[in-house]
Amino acid sequence: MNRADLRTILYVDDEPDIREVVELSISLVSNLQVVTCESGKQALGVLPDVRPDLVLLDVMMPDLDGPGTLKAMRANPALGHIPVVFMTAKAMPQEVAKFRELGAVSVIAKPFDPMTLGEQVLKIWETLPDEHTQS
Amino acid sequence: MNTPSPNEKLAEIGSRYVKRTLGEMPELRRLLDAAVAGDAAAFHQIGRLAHRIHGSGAMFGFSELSDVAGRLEHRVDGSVGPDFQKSLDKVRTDVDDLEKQVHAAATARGV
Repeated sequence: MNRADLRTILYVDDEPDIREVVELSISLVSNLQVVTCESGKQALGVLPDVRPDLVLLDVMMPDLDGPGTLKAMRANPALGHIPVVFMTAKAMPQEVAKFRELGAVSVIAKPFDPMTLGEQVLKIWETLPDEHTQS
Repeated sequence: MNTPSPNEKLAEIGSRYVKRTLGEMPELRRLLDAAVAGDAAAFHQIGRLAHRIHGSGAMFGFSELSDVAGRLEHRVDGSVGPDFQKSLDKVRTDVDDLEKQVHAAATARGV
């Protein structure tokens, strides 16, 4: 089976400024598009329609936080296979290990460099095991 | 009309970010006053606000703002519990520093 290209990312964050920055960052990478959501609940609503290749998920959000959103995705057979990357300012090694145990494939530390975020995400995609990236 | 460059767009978002963060400083002060009065939930909220700024300031070129916010966040995280008030003097100093950084950022951006 061929490794699929990364085409669509869903970015979930309650901060409007950061959502804008991520839209800008991803626009710098050819053939990559991003859809943004302002909450975990909204994300769960749009995931079946958007069908992203990858989800970038903020950790600290009101109501349904990042880990809660990931847990809900994993409980849904239609969404459970989508790789999730947490984005958080709490990215010490012990915290990253905890996030991986929850099922995230990687963690991107905030604050990130807006000019290189797209490339960073592509590198993560390229290192994912094949079961996450099949076409 | 010329299309803004990515850096110009980022600067524009950054100016809005600074303006919004500046507008949150009175709330930060209110939370600090409430924490001094014994409100543990307010103390926790200080940490959450600091966390947000820690995770975003440097994206817009305000590295020191992120650093100061990170210091405040870690101090609050390390002090949560029944004895949180013991850390309030240092938290107050961190809040003062954070406010200075936010005002410096606002001045730099002309907001």
